[in-house]
Amino acid sequence: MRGLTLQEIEDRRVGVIGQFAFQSLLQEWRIPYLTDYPLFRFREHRLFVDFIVPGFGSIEVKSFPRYAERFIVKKRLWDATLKTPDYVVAIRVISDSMCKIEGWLPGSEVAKLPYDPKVCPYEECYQTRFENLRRFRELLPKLLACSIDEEVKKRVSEEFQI
Amino acid sequence: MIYKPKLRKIEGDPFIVIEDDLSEVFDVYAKLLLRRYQEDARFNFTRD
Repeated sequence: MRGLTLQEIEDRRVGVIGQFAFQSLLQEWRIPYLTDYPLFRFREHRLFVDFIVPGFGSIEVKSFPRYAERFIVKKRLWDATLKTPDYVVAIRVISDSMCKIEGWLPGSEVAKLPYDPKVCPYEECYQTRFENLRRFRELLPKLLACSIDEEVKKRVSEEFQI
Repeated sequence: MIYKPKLRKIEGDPFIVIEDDLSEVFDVYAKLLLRRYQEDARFNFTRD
């Protein structure tokens, strides 16, 4: 087995941080969820999407390094997924302890994004600038409605003026 | 307990803040995942 490169580890690390960050948000807001643990090999343990929130839908978190300006998904990997997630949330990992939610898209819209060989010279990809994504604020009311804690719903609604 | 929300508005944008130092967890988990993907490719496990 070949050794791992530092870039491979860093790329994967960014993905792990984004997923943990979103998971911590669901925990804080007391939103029940199933999450995927890719370390489990047996398919009955796997979801093949990052989160499933009952009453909301499936969520794939796409994480990007701090210098990223665009939402980019490799066509090869996206097309290989059997189930299109209901929502794709883009998270820019600023540091190990801070992430910025850049926005979201319905999963069905990802494959409609344009391919630009100048942006992805090595492999075909779906891409757009972060500012073209939908604002996370639009998703908040529906997500928060899934919380099982009325106090949390009230507090977060007030904080974010939902 | 001082309440520190994980989702914070910074200059109007939503940020998630992780209060705990999980750097070591991220390191180990990322390496484990990559090794698992290498093994899966070697033994022809697929995501489907």
